[in-house]
Amino acid sequence: MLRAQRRLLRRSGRLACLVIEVAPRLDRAGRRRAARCGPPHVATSSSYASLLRSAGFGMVDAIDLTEDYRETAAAWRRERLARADEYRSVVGEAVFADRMSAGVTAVRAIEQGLLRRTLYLASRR
Amino acid sequence: MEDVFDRFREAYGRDGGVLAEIEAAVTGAVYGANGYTTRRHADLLAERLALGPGRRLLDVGTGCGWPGIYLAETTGCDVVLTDVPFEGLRRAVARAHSLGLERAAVVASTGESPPFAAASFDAICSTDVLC
Repeated sequence: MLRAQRRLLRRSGRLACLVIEVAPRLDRAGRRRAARCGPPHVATSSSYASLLRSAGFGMVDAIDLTEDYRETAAAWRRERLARADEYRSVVGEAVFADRMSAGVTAVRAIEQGLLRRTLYLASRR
Repeated sequence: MEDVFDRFREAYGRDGGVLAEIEAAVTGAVYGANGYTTRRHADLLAERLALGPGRRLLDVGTGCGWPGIYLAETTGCDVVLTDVPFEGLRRAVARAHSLGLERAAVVASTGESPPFAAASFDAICSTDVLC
């Protein structure tokens, strides 16, 4: 996907990828826990920075937005809970329960340093 | 693949009401999104991609048009929105139309095989597509 995107960019064009990723420097058990807690496909065998470089991009910047991620994950849960009856009536009991559980799991994983969110900025070389 | 389409059709088919209230409180915008990209993040994208009039942006995995339509509206750039679930794209078209945003186009496409000419964009953004 990144190689295809590089082809579409004009010379010196910029790519911005906001991603949730497994935190660096975790041991194998930590990586497994992070993969279970994060969204689908959160676990990659390479870092996004190296994926971008191998696709022919030059890295410009990597901005850590993990604290924003924690706040936003907590806010989704808080706002849904604040409107629990109405929200549940729209999405159904199963989705409601799943979202509540996922929210707790995500916030806990972020606070434990398992997941992070990063804005990668790269340019076409 | 059918499950994916069904899931997104169901998610994007829900209009307004409590879902919009929740999304507005969390992200600061209402686009039928349920991810972690807030309005502040969208503004950061605009700044770091140097978006503005005459620049052409590709938003990959746009869902219902977030953040691509917002970026076109606030910066004056042209935008092409791509994703796979058709219902989300239909809503993105409706949103762009309601805003009178003629600088927005929508194309059903995967990220792996985008149907565009080489070197046709100044900037590309994707939010929570790679994870």
